[in-house]
This record gives sequence, structure tokens and C-alpha cells, in this order.
Amino acid sequence: MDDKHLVQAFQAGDEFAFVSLYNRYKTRVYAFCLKMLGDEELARDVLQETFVRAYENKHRLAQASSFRSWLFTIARNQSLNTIRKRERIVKLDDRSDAQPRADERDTPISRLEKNERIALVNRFLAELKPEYREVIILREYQNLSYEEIAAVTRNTVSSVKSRLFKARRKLAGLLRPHIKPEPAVPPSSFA
Amino acid sequence: MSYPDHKACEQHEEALNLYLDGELSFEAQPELFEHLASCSGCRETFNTLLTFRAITREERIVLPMLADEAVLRRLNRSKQSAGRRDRVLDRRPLWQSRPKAAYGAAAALGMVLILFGTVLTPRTGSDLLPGPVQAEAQPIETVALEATVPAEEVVYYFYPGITVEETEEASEMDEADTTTGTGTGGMP
Repeated sequence: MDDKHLVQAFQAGDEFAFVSLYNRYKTRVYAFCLKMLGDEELARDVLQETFVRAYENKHRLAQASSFRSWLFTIARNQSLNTIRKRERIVKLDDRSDAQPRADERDTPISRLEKNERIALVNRFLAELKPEYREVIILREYQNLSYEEIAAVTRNTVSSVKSRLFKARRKLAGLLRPHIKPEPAVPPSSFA
Repeated sequence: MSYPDHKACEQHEEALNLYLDGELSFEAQPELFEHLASCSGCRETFNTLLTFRAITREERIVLPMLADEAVLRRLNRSKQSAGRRDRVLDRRPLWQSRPKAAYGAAAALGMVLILFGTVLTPRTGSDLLPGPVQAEAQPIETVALEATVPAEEVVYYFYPGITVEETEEASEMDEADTTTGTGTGGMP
């Protein structure tokens, strides 16, 4: 059953439909919150808040174009609120974690262990401004289209593109010292 | 990352991003790859972003097991508190409920009703009230049954509930009282 039918059933009072929607999106919403906040406990809190708000505001769901965008909008707003509330703590955490360890500084990223690579990327991601971080997460981790990101962030598509390209530029600048330069291999049709 | 000396790099940055997102048209791709082949800076950026993407795909995020339970507990709490709110609303006394009409409108309506009530209602109130008790003199002519007995004029004074027959002597006394100003007001 697709989202639309589940949402209609939920609005008609079928609570099992809401549980199905929850099971379908819980991991993605949690992943988004975790990447935005960099803290598992905060991410769990925001996940709870997101689904409780979705449950309580089901009458407003009819206006939303897609359930996924609507859900990510709630999660995004809750995450930004949490960041604002705990801005000082998050910033301190970011500062302490942003600097890679000595072995990570000297070793190219390709030679790091998988977990180390992921940790390094997460630290650089946390260094981005929230408005850059959110578009990177929505595009790279959640695979949302420009239009969906625009719906989630309440922006225009051109504004989303602009922010996403700037965010990538910034992230590439942070990651580049850890990437071993390799020759580009163009697709065979253009070689 | 800035491109102080590479205007071409700035021009190709959008194409590079669109390519990464699968949005660059097939026709525009050869030009981008020509640039990447000739520009090590853009190639490095391209490789870095591809590496970043590969690392994002490596990560598996798993929701903690207790998170489901916490969410469902929270949903239950929310439902229960919503129910409590409804019951509180049901128990709320009427005087605490929000008035349907504005107080000003209600006051104006009241004033209009009072005004119309005063003007249009027939003035029956003062007419219906009992006034001061006054005697009404009604002369009743009696017919002499016997010629031998002289006809006597009898005056009956009607009071509410009492009928008094006035004799000639009493009427004479009354007349005397009225002239002296010490009358009893017609009362015998």
C-alpha cells in the first residue's frame, strides 16, 4: 500500500495505518535527525516529537503534497529548534570533535578503516552551518530531489540548488586534504 | 573553495553539481568532462565529492531498539492527555464557557429591548393599580309601597365590600362636617 492510501486510512481513524507509516519512515527520519544533531539521544527525542506531531496534526496532512516531505519538514524544524536551544553545547562539541585525530590527519581517507572514514566525514558534516548541513543530508543521505528539498525547507528550487552547491564546495574544501588525488576516469563514451 | 583565476571553473561548477545529482543533460556532459580533463582543481573537487558520497553509502544507521517503545509510549501519553483535555472541557461550567455573542452586542440588544418595551407597551400599569378608596354615591329611588308612608330618599354608599345605607340624619351630619371641615370623608 502506498503512502497516499495509508495516509487516507490514518485520517479516517485507522491507527494501524499510522504504525505502518511509522515503520516505513522511522529509520530515515532518525538518520536525518542524527546527522543534523550529531547526538543519538537528541535524535531519538526529535524522532519522537516528529511522529507525535504528525499524529496530532493529521487533519493538516491533507494540505501537504507528500507525506515524506511533510514528515521531513517536521523533523527539520524540530532539529533546528533543538540546535537553537542547545547551540552552545553543540558548538562546543563540534569544536572538540571537528579536529581529526593525528592518525586521521596523516592517513589518506582511502586507507582509513570504514568506521574512521565515517567518523571523519561526520565531523566535517557537523562543522557545516545548519542550513548547509540540512541540504547535504537531504540530498546525499536521504536522496531527495531538488523539489522535495525545496518543499521540506520551504524554499525555492533555485535557492536549494544555490545552497547545495555552496555546501558541497565547503565540504569539499574540508575533505580535500584527506583525499588522495587520483586521475579522473571519464565515462568510456567521452574518453 | 574559490576560483580566483579560473572563470571556467566557476562556470562549470553548476554543471558538475547537476551531474552529481543526475540532472545534467546528456548533451551538456561532454563539455563538463572536457573541462575536468584539463582542470586538476575541479577534478579534485569532483573526486572528493564522489568519495564523500561513497562514504555516506557505507554508513548503516540503525534505529535503537528502545526507540520504538519510547515513541509508542509517547503517542499513548499524547492520546491520554488529549482525552483529559476533552473531559475537562465537558466539565467546565457554563459561566466559564466563552460567550457566543460579544458582550457589547448583548448589551446593545438589551438596551433596544428596554427602549421598545417602554415605548410600545400599553400603559396599563397605573390604571390597574387600586387607587385610594373613595365612596361613590348612587341615589336609588325607592318606590313608596304605601301612600300613607312618606317616600324616603335613601342614599347607599358603596365601599368595596361594604354597602352602607345613609339616613337623612347622617347626611345632614355629613353636610355639617363638610361646612366645618371636620368631615369623616363620607364614612358613617
